[in-house]
Amino acid sequence: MVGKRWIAVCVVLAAAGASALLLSGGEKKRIEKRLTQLAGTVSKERGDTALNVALRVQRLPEFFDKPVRLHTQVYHMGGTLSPTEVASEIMRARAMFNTLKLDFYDVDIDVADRTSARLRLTARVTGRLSTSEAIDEVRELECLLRKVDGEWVFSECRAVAVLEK
Amino acid sequence: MRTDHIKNFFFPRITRRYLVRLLLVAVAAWFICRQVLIPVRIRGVSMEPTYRDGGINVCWRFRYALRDPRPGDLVAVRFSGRSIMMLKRVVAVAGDTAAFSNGVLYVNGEAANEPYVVYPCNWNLPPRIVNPGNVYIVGDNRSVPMEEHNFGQTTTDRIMGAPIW
Repeated sequence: MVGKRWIAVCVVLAAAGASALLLSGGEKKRIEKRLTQLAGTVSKERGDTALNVALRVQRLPEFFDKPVRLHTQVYHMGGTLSPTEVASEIMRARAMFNTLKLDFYDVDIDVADRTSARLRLTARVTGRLSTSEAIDEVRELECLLRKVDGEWVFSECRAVAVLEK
Repeated sequence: MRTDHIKNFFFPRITRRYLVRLLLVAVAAWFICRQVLIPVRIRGVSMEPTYRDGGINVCWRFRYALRDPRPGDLVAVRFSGRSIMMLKRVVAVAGDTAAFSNGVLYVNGEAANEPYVVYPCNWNLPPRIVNPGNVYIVGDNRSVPMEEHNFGQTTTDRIMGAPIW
């Protein structure tokens, strides 16, 4: 009798562990997909049409929490901003480029619970400015994400100081 | 006889033994390229003329396994992972004081001998002490403005190895 109980407890624990792993894996996939979407929305190819820009302006705020805290001075973006403010800052920086590509590397996702996650990643911005100057910037970022209405949004972002002059 | 050897080399018979060998070679190659000798492509001009933009190299992971990096050593420094690394040169170690005056590097108050720095520069940076567990790294190409060059102190746990040539 005792043996059967132990087996039942072990089965329940194993099922709980497996479902937690599956859920966490699913959320990780969703966050990775979200990052891909953000990179695609920010990136720019030559010949960006007005319609394309308008669509991006509309789509970008959906990636950010209300409000979002940025602890980074990249392109003078920093402080506590609303999603539309972040979007307009990104679009303003984007307008300076002829071509722009945003890529994320080595993404480490830690899903704390179903509604929050911590990210550590390397973001790389490559492109060419309107002045023909080539840009290749790499930053390590630490971000907090929150799940709002079923979608992961950036709640806080901090640039990690890899080098200290 | 020789023709048979050549034929067997290029068109081997698919046996179980052959498949096992193929699998072992693939696993060994994957392990070596991920953990021991990481192939890298150099992008950027911060290490010119020692390393040219677009060059190919291999990062030897165990370069500093038995000893700590010393001034003059080359290091590959990671961001959040190993996909993107910075290639720089160690100029000072923990406890040292590093400073620039009219483009000359001073370590502990003495002008450093740097035969690898070819292009002149006019950098000026007040002295700073390298913290315990850190190294001070700079690129060889100091012809770019100081504000645009990524250099400074970083933790030794970010050092992933060194290029083998």
